[in-house]
Formats: sequence, structure tokens, C-alpha cells
Amino acid sequence: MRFGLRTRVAIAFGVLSLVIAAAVSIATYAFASYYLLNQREDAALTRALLDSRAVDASLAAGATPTEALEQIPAVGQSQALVRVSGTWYTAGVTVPPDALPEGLLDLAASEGGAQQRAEIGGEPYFVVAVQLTDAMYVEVFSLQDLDQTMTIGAWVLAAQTVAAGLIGVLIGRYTVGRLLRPLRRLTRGAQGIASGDLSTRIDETGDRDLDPIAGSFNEMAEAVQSRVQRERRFSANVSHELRSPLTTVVGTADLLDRRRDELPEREAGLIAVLVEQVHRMSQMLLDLLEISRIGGDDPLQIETVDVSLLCLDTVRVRNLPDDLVTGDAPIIRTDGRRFERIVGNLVENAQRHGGGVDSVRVERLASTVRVYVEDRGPGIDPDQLEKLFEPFSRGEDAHHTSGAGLGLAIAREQANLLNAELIVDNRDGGGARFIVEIPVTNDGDDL
Amino acid sequence: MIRTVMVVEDDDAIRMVLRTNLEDEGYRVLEATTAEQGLLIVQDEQPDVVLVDLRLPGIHGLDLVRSLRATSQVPIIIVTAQTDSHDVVAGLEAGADDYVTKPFVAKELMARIRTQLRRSAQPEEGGEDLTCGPIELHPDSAEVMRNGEPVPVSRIEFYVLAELIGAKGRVLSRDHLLRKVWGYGNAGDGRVVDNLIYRLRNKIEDDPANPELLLTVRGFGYRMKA
Repeated sequence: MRFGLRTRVAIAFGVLSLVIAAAVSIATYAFASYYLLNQREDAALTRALLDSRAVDASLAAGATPTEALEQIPAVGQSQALVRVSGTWYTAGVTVPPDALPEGLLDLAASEGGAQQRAEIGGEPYFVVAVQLTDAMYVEVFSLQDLDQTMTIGAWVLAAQTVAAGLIGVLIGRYTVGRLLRPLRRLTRGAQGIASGDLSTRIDETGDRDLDPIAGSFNEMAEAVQSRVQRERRFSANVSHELRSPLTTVVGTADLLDRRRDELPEREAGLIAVLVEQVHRMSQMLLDLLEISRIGGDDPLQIETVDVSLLCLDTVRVRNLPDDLVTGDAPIIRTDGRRFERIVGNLVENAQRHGGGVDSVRVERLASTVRVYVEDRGPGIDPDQLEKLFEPFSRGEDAHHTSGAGLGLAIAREQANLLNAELIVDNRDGGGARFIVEIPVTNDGDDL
Repeated sequence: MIRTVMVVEDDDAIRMVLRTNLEDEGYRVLEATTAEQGLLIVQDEQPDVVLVDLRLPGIHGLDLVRSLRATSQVPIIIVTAQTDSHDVVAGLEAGADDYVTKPFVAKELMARIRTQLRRSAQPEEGGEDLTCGPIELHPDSAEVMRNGEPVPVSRIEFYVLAELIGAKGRVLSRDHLLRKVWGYGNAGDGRVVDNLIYRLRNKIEDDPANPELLLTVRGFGYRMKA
């Protein structure tokens, strides 16, 4: 599995801060233990020297080694031993004299004094030996407590290191979020273009790293927009230039058609064919022009629309009975003419290819309204459902029915323009069902 | 009585088709290829209805509509290949009464013309006078009075007003008006109604931007204050 950018950066931040925190912790631990140990040893040494002098003085004054040891003030955790003429004397319980490091005593005998850290009976000690006038004085300091302190310290530092790692992860996530924020603007811009708003541009904010991207994006958007506008202008001109001759051809054909009775039978038959085909071609051209211009310069005319009334009008003008229209009567804000075109095309499609309209049902949902146009045909092959909305797709009966095959394609395009969904499925009881789902509100002004 | 239709159209072929269709219907046809020519002919011949192409050489069809409307109430139908909303709306705002897009269906265009002519020929005979606030309609003479002063209205405006006042405060949908007044058999363009209402308000309201007599009912249509 591949992690997302955010996760990867967060992990990297986490690892980095973990490493840094660990290094700092280890250094801290080393320094602290070195410092604390040294301090302790200095104190112990001073103490041992003072004690050794007191014992030396007592012995010189004729006290027994045991008495001399007992005179030492009992401070802290130290234990004192004294060797006089090869015999060890102690005050109370101490470490066994034979456990003392041997080299230390020899060193003290020759140098006058020595010190050493040693492990006796598994516990850490600091041992100081001082050569007195006639005796060897040894004082043993336990380092056990210091050892415990350092252990606790080590745990605390370890916990801090882990915490630092976690904080690093959080900072990583946050930083990526911040870094990606401008990228999100870019994403929004791209989405704007993709959804058809070609005037989308990204503000250049004066950021040296990001402005080039925004600039390139805007240039691209500019190029796309001007190209689309050129094509639309072309399409508009084609439309206008085609309409004039089309008017003449259709008009002349109709005039000839009206004079058919005055013509010989053969010619009248030819005229009939001509008229029919001219009308078919004209309708096809008009549909083509319409579909190529949907979403062009023609702005939406947003108005308040009673969906039920609109559906009623739609079936009435096609000479269908009012009772086909059932369901709710919601009021929505949309472009009424375009919406009428969608429903009208669905109704015509049902008439031409679906064995007639079975019902036009209006259903109000939370923020949308659905119009169901159901037909009486055999339904649609599931493989063909989506292809229906492609231009010139009329299924298998293409040769037997009229219409250019653009009605559903136009309806789909118009629906997109109104932010509506147009889908088709098969009813349980047979027959196809077209569904337009349109939002209740579309921004715009009044009737 | 022979009716006269003037066609202002620069495309010879389309003019020929229009002329033949109109003559088949028994109209006398006057032809103009430019707006300038059209204006002269209107002054001399007083046609009963004018068909205007928008894209004319020289003076634009829209300006022709405006000039005609400034001096006469003759019914004007725009016949245009420009199907963009703003062209249509501009034509209606300039004062046209109806529009047909190319390629037109001859039967439909003839029906449009008949509607305009019928309406301007025969006000509902013996109809009772209709009043609404300061507005009085005299169907016999097809006159509209406001506070006793005559208001110049086209015939189609007169009939829209008559329908609305006759409805006594009921709302009339735009489709209803299109069918009743313009004679549309199938779905017409509601903007034809909207623009006519706009023009009517300028004639009968004190403050056309805040109408008190001719009211809009959002999503449905229009009604007169009862």
C-alpha cells in the first residue's frame, strides 16, 4: 500500500523529531550522570579526608581503632573501615574488607591515598582509601540512590523522546495541510474549468513559488476559453448562414406541396418524397445546431416554475390527456423554457420509441424535484441504457420512426446546464422510465 | 377587404417564398429590402402588418422596429435567423408584437399574421366597457382611457389588457395569454408576454417599476388588481 503525501510527510517529520529528541536525550543523560557522579565523588572525597584526619588524631591520642571509628559523625550512607597492623576494624555493619578492590589499597599505601568506583556485592560504591600514620583508613560510599535517580531520569527522557516523535507527526500533518492550501486553490480552479465555467482564474498572491503555477494555469484557461468562444462564434455563424437557405428550401417545398393537386401524379409523388425529406433534414439540422449551441452565449433565464403546471402544458401541447400528469406540485427556480424542452423531449421520445407515454409523475424530495416519464414500450436493453443519450442513437427501430435521434442528447445537455440529472432505467412492470432530477433552487432573478 | 402585408427582407429567395405564401392567402404584398425603403413604404401605403428581418444591410432591423413603433401601432412580427435569447428579447423590447424564427413553418407564420390582423380588425363587438381603477377600456372603439385621457395602445396590447381586466383579478398564465391573444396552438415563448406587459406598464402605471395595477404573480403569470 502506498501512503498519501500527507501521511508520508507526517511520518518523516515524526522520525526526524524522534532522532533529534533521542540525540538530545542521550547527551542530556550522559552529561547529567557525569556531572552528578562527579559532584558526589568530590563530596565523598572531602568527607573521607576529614574523617581520616579525625581517625588519625584519635589513634595518635591512644584510642582503639573501634573507638576512633565511632567518633566519626554518622552522616549519609558511608561506611568506614580502618586497618591497623594488618587487622581490619569496623564500626557497625560494613562491606566485607576482603571485598575491597586490592589494587586500591596498594596504591593508597604507596601514594598516601586513592579513590575508585567499584561494584561490591552487585551494588555501586565509591571507595576512598587514605594511608594514616600507622593505619589504612577506608571509607565506602553507596551510589545506589544516584543510580536510581539516573534510572528515573532515563525513563523521563525516553518518554520525552517518544512525545517529541508524536508531536513531530502532528506538525508534519499540519505543515503539509498549510503547504497544500494553495494547491487546493489550484484544484478548485481546475474543477471550475472542468464544470464548464471557463472564466475561472486563480488569483496570483505574490508568492514567488506559487505564482508561476497560477500563471500557467490562467494561461491555459485563457487559451481554452478563447478557443471555445471561437468555436461558439463559428457555430453561431453556421447556424445563421444555414437558416436562410433552409428557410427557402423548406418554404419552397411547402409551396410545391400545396400545389400537388395541380401536378401530374408522378411529379406529385416525387414532391411528397422531397417535402418529407426536406422536413426531416431541416429538423435534424435544427437539432444539431441546438445541441452544438447549448451552453453557449444564450444565458439561463431563471424564473419561478410550477413543475406540475409545466408538465401539464408539456403534455397538452402534444395533444395528450391531462391525467397523465400525477404527483406533487412543487415550485422551483430554474430556466423554464429549457426545463420544458427536457420534459418535452422525454415525452416525445416515449411517444416515438416507447409505445406511448404511460405517466409523467412529479415527486418532491428534500432539495430536488424529480420528474418521471414512463412509457409503455418493452423497456430497454440494459447494455443500451447509457448509449441512449448519445446523438443519433435510436435503438433498433431507427428505420421505422421519425425524429433525428437527437432529442435525448439535447435533453441530457440541457439537464447538465440546469444542474439536473437525467437518467433512465427499466420499470419493474416493463417499459422504460426516464428520470430528471433538478435542484429546487438555482441562483438568478425574477419572473 | 384586401389586407396588406409589408415584408422587409434582404434575402431574395426568402422574400419570394414569403410573397408566394402571402399571396396564396390572399394578401397584397409590399416588399422592401432595406429598413430605409421599409420606412418610406409604411408612410405611403399604411400596411396592416409588417414582417421584419433583423439582420438587414444598413439600418438594423431593430432600429426599424423602434422607428415604426414610435409613429404607429401597426402590428410588427420579427422574422429572424438569430435565435439567441438576447436578439429575440431585444426585438420584443424594441416594440415587436411577436416573432418567428427561420426556418419558419409557413402555416404557423400565416396563423401569426391572421392573429395580428383579426385582432386589429374586429374589436369584440358590443362588448361592455371594462374598467379597473383609473383604466377604462372601450371595446367598441378599441380605445383605452386612463383618468379620462386616451392612451395609445397597439391592438395586441388592448386585447391583453381586456383579457386581464375581464378576468377580474384572477391570475392568467402566460401560456393562457399566448393561446388566447396571440393564438398560439402550442407552446409559445413567455417572453413575448413579459415584454408586452412591460410596455403596458409604461403606459398605464404611475411608476412602471412598482406596478400597482398590473401585477406579477411569480411562477404563474399576471393579474389585474381587482
